[in-house]
Amino acid sequence: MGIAHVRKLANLLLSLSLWAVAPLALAEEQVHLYNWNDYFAEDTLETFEAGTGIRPVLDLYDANEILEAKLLAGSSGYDLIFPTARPFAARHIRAGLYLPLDKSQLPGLDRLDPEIMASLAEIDPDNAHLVPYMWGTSGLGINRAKVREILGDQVPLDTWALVFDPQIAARLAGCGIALLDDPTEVFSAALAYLGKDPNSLERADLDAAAELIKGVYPHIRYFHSSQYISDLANGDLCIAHGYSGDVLQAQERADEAGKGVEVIYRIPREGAAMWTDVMAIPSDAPNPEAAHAFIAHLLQPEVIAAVSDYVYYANPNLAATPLVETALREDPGIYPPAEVKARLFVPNQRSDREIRDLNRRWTRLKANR
Amino acid sequence: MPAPQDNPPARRQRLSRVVNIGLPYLWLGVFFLLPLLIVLQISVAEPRLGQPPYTPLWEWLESGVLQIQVNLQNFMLVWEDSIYLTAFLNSLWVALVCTLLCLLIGYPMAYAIATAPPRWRIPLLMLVILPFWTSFLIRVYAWIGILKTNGLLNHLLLALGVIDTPLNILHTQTAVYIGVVYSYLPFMILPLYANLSRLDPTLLEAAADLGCRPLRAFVRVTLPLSLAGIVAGSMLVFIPVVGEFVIPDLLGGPETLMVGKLLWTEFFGNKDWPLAAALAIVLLGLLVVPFVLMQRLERRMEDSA
Amino acid sequence: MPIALDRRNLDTWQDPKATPYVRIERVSKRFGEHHAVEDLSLDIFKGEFFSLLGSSGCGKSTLLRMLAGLEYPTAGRIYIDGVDVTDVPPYSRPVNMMFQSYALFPHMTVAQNIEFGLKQERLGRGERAERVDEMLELLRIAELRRRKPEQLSGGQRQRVALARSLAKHPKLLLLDEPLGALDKRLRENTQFELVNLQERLGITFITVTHDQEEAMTMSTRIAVMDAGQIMQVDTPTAIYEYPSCRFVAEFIGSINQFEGKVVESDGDQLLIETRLGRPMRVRNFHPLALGTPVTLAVRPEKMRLCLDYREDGVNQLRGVVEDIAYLGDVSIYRLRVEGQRVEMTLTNTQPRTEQVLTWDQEVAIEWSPTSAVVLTE
Repeated sequence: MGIAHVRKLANLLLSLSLWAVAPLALAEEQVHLYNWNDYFAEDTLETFEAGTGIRPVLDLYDANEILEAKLLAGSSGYDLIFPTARPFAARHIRAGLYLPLDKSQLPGLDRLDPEIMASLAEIDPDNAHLVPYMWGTSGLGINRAKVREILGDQVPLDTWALVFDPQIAARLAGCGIALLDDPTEVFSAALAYLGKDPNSLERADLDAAAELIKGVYPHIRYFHSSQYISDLANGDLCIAHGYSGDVLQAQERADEAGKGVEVIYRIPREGAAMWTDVMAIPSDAPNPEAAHAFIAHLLQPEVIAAVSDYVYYANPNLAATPLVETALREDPGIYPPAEVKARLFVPNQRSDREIRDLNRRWTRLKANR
Repeated sequence: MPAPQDNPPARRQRLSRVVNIGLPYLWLGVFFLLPLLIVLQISVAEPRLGQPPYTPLWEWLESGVLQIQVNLQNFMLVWEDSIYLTAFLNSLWVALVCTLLCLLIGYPMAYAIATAPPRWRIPLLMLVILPFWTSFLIRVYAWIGILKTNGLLNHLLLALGVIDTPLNILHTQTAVYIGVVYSYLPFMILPLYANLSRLDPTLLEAAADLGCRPLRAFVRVTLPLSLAGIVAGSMLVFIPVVGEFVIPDLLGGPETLMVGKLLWTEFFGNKDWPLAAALAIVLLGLLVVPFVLMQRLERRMEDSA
Repeated sequence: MPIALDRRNLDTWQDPKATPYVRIERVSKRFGEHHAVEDLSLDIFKGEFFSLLGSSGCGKSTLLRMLAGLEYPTAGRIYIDGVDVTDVPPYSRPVNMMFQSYALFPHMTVAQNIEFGLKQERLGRGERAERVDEMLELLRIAELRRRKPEQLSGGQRQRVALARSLAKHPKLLLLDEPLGALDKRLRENTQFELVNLQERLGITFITVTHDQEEAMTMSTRIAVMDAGQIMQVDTPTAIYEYPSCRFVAEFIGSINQFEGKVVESDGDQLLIETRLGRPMRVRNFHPLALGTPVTLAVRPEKMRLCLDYREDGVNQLRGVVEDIAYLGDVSIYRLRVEGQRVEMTLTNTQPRTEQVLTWDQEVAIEWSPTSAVVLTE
């Protein structure tokens, strides 16, 4: 997932409070988890503790960057973390920050989607370090009624043109367009819209993408990686480039609020980025045994299906798919049909220098300078 | 026979003098100089993938050669890439505007509190301090609710008929100004209040008696005598605002380019600790210069006139 | 004892045709429930050195601040030079004030402090500088011109404050405890200097003080105040010699009081019978009915040793020396006379070793009928 650093301080406070209670339970065996906000089902931790007797201690983050900074600084004290596979986990494997998995402790690995495992093997040979946890896409969150009102009933909604076509964007600007604050996401979306390789690092391609973004720049209200959730739900935005689960969360909030705001999620026909969040054990984990036990817990189909039901993301466990709620299983935004799935792409491996260049290009672009 | 200055009381005195003078230096050394040196060391390293994510300053090679590696490219990049200079200038500009706004709003408030009847002063000061009891982050978040397109302010203005279409204030530099002035106003008011409450009211009576109208008396007596408070308050606002990250991040738009945000991007987004450290060093330099200038100005005001 | 200054030519207040320079007409000032000044009227004439004398809280400072315009009366009018200034703000009044704390501007030099008031007028730079020099010279503080107030001694600050308040050449100068912050020796020297200055400049001074000696020394007239009202207004001599009431008599100097009633009235003489059982004779200009209860007041220095004591002698008493206070020039003797304490001051004309009186000695004292006053209030 992207740079969602907003709730940094709140998280810090939360982590501190969790650390504060930790010493009270020193006598029992513990496993220290470091996961995204709201990324377990409500009973995931309870059933683990009931089954193993190991007490899970959960710490939260909402940006891969925060997790990465802690890992790089060393001695993070976590047993199990949940980074996004590309580029984060890939980079960490190269830096030797992870412990290889003991697969004998992980029954049920064979139930995982072979396509996803194959894709992960590109960054993690032999799937030695990573177990996929959830996967999703980044597409468009849309306030259907408002967009229809402005654009009419004929215009298709499953297209990047809604944000990248200057004429359409100009018409939607008044009710609000937001893009993710993540250069990889926005550049690959722009490249996909232009019909180019979304992973291209060719200067000409990047320049074309930058020109495209600059062209619609005046119509973009903001670049942010989480703000759009509440704004979509409140009707403050018409279009948000966002993560599938986040947009669906906005959808549910809008339904709960009952103010007549209808949010839908669409995977653009030009193609969209697919991401996978994985589980990995830091090389300095205090209790790798317990971490393995926790992974094994999440490999159980009924456990991971419950997580999907809660977080609105697809899980890679094929045995779990029939257990997931029907509404979710049949939602093309979550479990896309084969022809849509074929248009998804995964970001490819980039060097640090390439990423830095892209990031700095991004900063300049955002500042419109 | 021991020398007279070596008798126990003299020795104890000398020891206490060493402790008295040494302790503050030790404090500064451990909590200021040492971290600064570490940051300085990182700023001349090269980023790498690993733990820590930068190259060490020195290394013992097998041949017994000590190799020291100093990389000045980070500073070069900060100088050459206009984005950093622009961010610095914009940060200084935002800090300057906010300091002036805080002064403009805070001075009358501090003056009103300082001249209020004594039994009102503590309650009024409490009102200034009270927001501190709520988390800073929550208060900034609250401004999102106020300023957003569907927010309180727009609803109010629309209801009052002041505007026909909602204003887009959130995610602009204006929102940053509002958030910063709101958050830092107490830091301006408190030192000003401390200063103004010590101001002898008979000085104003004397000015009036000598033919000075109230406004002129304010300019010629109150204002110069509260200069120390103005300087203190301005420093307390200006310096942290230059490096402010949370407010521009939450309330600012893409155009609000500030050093705090760049630092975040370099540190977290790019994992380029050395460049982030170089930015921090340059920022420190930029802040120390006005500080020294202000102090010199203050000293000159004291000496002359 | 106070030394009266030469004020022979100053008696404007006795001229019925003279118009007062400052007229305070039935002025009251209330702070909430507190009555600081109560229905007070007072006329002050041009060239006077007028003192408002009283203990703290008597309303004298409030009255002065109302003249300066720093307080506004709750009721009544104030006229200065014939103009009603009751509602005129301080910066528009032809009056300057020297504050008790001096209120020097700490961020300005001595010269800048003095120039401050001049800058508020439309005066040229040259004229201002001239005036500052004049003031520095007048108060002999030229060498301090570049100093800041914090670098000055108490006496120097007092001079700067005076120079600043005089710089605008006011017609009326108000001084709030002008010598209050000085030590005793400096205070005495400055008293004379202030009076000389006032006479030289011909400015009307109104000063507030709680120090009776200071008021006696400097003033042409004194108003003794108590509880927001004026008890007596008169020259220092009259206030001392002929106090109009017991409050004034007690407030200024010390005085012996004998309570009694009028038993005989004969022209300008009264015969009074006191509790001490002896008749006392006193000169009095106001007729009093027989039987009127009165207090007979005699200053200690008006007492003298009696050489021809008689059992039925008028204005004669006999007592025992209880206490002696040797003050150098004079000695104060406390006598016990039939249960009442009587104080007597004698000038030490002889060396101390040859003192006339000693402890427990029985002595007879007397005074002349013209030395005593009759007080009815």
